[in-house]
Amino acid sequence: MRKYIASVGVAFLVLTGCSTGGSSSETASKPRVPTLLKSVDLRLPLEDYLFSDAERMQLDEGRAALINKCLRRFEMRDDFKLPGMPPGPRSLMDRRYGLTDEAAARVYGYHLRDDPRGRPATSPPEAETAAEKKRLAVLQGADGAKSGGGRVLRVKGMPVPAGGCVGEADREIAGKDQPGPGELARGANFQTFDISKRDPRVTEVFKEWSECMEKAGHSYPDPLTAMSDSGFQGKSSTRAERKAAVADVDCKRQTNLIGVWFTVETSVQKELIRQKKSDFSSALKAKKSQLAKAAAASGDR
Amino acid sequence: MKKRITSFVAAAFGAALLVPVTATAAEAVACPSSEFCLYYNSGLGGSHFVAPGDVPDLAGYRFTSSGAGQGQAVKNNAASAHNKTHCNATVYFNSNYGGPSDTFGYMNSGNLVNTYNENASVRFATFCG
Repeated sequence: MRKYIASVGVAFLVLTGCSTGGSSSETASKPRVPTLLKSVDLRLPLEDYLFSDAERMQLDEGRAALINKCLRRFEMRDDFKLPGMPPGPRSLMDRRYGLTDEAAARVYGYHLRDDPRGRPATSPPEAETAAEKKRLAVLQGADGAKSGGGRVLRVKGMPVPAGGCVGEADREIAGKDQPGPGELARGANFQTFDISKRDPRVTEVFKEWSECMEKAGHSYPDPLTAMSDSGFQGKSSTRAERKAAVADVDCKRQTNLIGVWFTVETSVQKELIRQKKSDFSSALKAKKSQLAKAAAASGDR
Repeated sequence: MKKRITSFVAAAFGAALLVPVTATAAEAVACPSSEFCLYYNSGLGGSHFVAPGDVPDLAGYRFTSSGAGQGQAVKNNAASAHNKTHCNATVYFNSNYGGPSDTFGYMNSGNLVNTYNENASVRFATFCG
């Protein structure tokens, strides 16, 4: 996996903006575009403010420890667990710009390698007995029991906290916020994607990619549209899908689409973070505080 | 775009950010326990759709519970989400789990980001209750 990272810096070209053919010093100040393809290990600046899968696991372990502590107070079983992240894209960057792993495209097409769509969904049994319903109300709060607010549920002579033991645990970890990234980082994650996708440097490389795909017999304006083709949503990949997926990755390689898009989005994010410096540093502080509280809760379980 | 709460506008990035959902009063019909729901309106308002499992493409699904938006398409049309499964649930911008995504932990909820008008796939592990 790392070998693709190592290719950063092998071949540079200069991103041309809209300036008139300037002096060499002007040219040198333009962002340089590395040649990139496989995106799973790339890292955008905004990821500092979002939660990685490992950080989500840490958060959930802390939440589960606090939830169990609360359940013990109500003399209930303290075996509550949160199973963590589902299998899926391996990182924020894995499928952000569509497919970039040629070997996987060859085998799975646009499907995930551990695609579950052929499997039926399983749901746990609904709380049916009075004891199970009471446990659910303590766990999730009175609104889980559809009380509509007003009355405070009491169990074992103690009031059930607002939002139940989950609500209590989340307040301990995140105060008045919900655990996980705040609205600033969550919003920015979509905005910078959207802004970079419409950047002329990126739309230009989409055009080159599209021409390359056309030569291979596939007609799409951009890689995400290819990924969304309604013909590629079946239970497993088809031969036509795998052929398109392989051509997609190959055209990304030929046009350096990933190098261009990643460079543009990185600079959009850096600029946003610079503009809202104090908001982002508060977001980082909040994230670190949540993770520290979660780790402490897991520690004194 | 419809009915989404715009908390503030960032001048250079002219798009609204999401606000956390706090008012359960707006919850017309509650998302059933152990399920992941997408709502037609922000603040868990209006009709909702219960995800049947991992959904690589929301095309063809509709909001089913009673309330505003009942019968409307879910794809590119959901404004908020509530996760009552034990597993982290992730909503992707693009079909086949592509593009940027937003993850909701157990019992967490929120409005979907305004620019994120292509909520096209939902993922959580099928073993998660």
